[in-house]
Amino acid sequence: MASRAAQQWGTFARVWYLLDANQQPPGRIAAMVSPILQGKHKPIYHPLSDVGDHVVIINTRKIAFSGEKWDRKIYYHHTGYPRGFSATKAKDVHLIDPTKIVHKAIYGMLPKTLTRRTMMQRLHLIPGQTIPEDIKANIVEQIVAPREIPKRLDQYTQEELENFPKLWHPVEDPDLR
Amino acid sequence: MAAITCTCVNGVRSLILGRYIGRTILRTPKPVITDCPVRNLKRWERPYMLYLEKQRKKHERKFGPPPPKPRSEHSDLPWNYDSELYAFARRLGEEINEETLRAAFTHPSFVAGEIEKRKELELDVELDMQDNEELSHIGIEFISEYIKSYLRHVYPNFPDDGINATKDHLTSVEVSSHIASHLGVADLIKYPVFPFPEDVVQKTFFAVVGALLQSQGPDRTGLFVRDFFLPQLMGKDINDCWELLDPMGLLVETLQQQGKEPPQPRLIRQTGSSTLVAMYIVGIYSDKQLIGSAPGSSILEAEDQATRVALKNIFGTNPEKSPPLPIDGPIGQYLHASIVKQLKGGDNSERVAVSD
Repeated sequence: MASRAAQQWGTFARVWYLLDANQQPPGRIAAMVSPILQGKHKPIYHPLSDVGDHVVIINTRKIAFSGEKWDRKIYYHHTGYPRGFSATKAKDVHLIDPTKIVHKAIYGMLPKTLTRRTMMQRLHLIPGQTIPEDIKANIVEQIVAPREIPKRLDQYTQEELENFPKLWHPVEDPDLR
Repeated sequence: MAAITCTCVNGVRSLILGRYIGRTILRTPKPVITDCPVRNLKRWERPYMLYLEKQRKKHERKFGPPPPKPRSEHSDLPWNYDSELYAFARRLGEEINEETLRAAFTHPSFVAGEIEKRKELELDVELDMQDNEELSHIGIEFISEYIKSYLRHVYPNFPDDGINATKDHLTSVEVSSHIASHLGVADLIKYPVFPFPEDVVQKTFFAVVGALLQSQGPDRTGLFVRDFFLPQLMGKDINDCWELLDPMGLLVETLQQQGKEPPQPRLIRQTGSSTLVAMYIVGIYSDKQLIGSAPGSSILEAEDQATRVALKNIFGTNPEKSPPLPIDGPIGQYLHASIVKQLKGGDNSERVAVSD
């Protein structure tokens, strides 16, 4: 048991998590990240205590909506001024800013209080693979991504393809057809 | 004056003004009244009490709180020193020789003061008063030996420096005078100046223990020391009593003595290294086994903390892992018996006299 001060430092330390958003649905990422930003995964949690952790999400450009959401999902926005209403498809939003979809998804899942902005400041979104050095030095843990990425046919090796169990074997003799 | 709790419906509080405490009455459906002179509060009584309280507070605000008075002057009842002495011993559940106890409470400067007074009054300077100088030395020696022996039994791997530091903490002025004041020792002290300084209270307390030792012997006195000094350690980390300036040096020495591999600190985890609130967890390994780990705000601090945790684990004094002090119960009784046997066997001159 370390001294009380050291124990307290260890209990209340902020942890930096990494999450790879490659081929992941943005909604499910948001559902995983939101409790971590709030600090709900800690036994010392209290909504007013500000015990949330940092989350660094990389490859936000590579997120994968299921179904036809890229075309069908519309992001609405009104500037507050007359004629300020806009409706933009997900694919267009993603082209303009590759982090905006993940940002909006997480922002919508956090509690609608004044602490929300503080939690969003602890979210670091990186569209590509390269993490800035100072953020990289802080990261300590990796969050397991929600979706298991399926393999493409060309990613299987020849042995795996051959050894895959077959339901029926194609007949060699054409005369039997 | 009978002590009656007031639960009257209109919530009249009993004012702390001398004998009026006993005058307040229960106003529940089944009142229980014991030797109270007045049945009900008169209509003028409450406003008068409030007026007196207001005057008292005004005086206190202007001139400060009243100076502390010795216990003998707290009430108008006569203070019988002899019966108070007797009551003191009985309250502790001990029988102590009256003369020895009287001497235990008399400070040497009080005796000197009395001699001075007699000289001034040109009386006979032959004074039969004994002071507590010798008794306090006997007392502190016994207390130190008992505490050290107890700690050695409970924490066999704890080095002597730590045991001495804990003993010093328990017999320090703050802790001893705290125990003494709560036992009522401070009320019976004979010392020229009031309020008594804390080291006078401490000395008197040790003299009381010395008097008890002379009257009852090491067995009862050991129980007394065990029951009043050792519970001060409950909830306290005894490693805090010992000021270690070089924990790594001590750890290296200790492992060498035990014939184990030298300690190797390793960084286990770190978070937020580029921020102001970085946290590092360092673990100390000996022969690839983890012996202690701790967090810290810098690598050096974490290493220092981890070394201290490793030392606590080796000495067996880690509060998280060691059981609570066996003060009572079968283990405690056996422990006390073995300590008394050790004290008797080691130092026979401790036992001065058998109980009367």
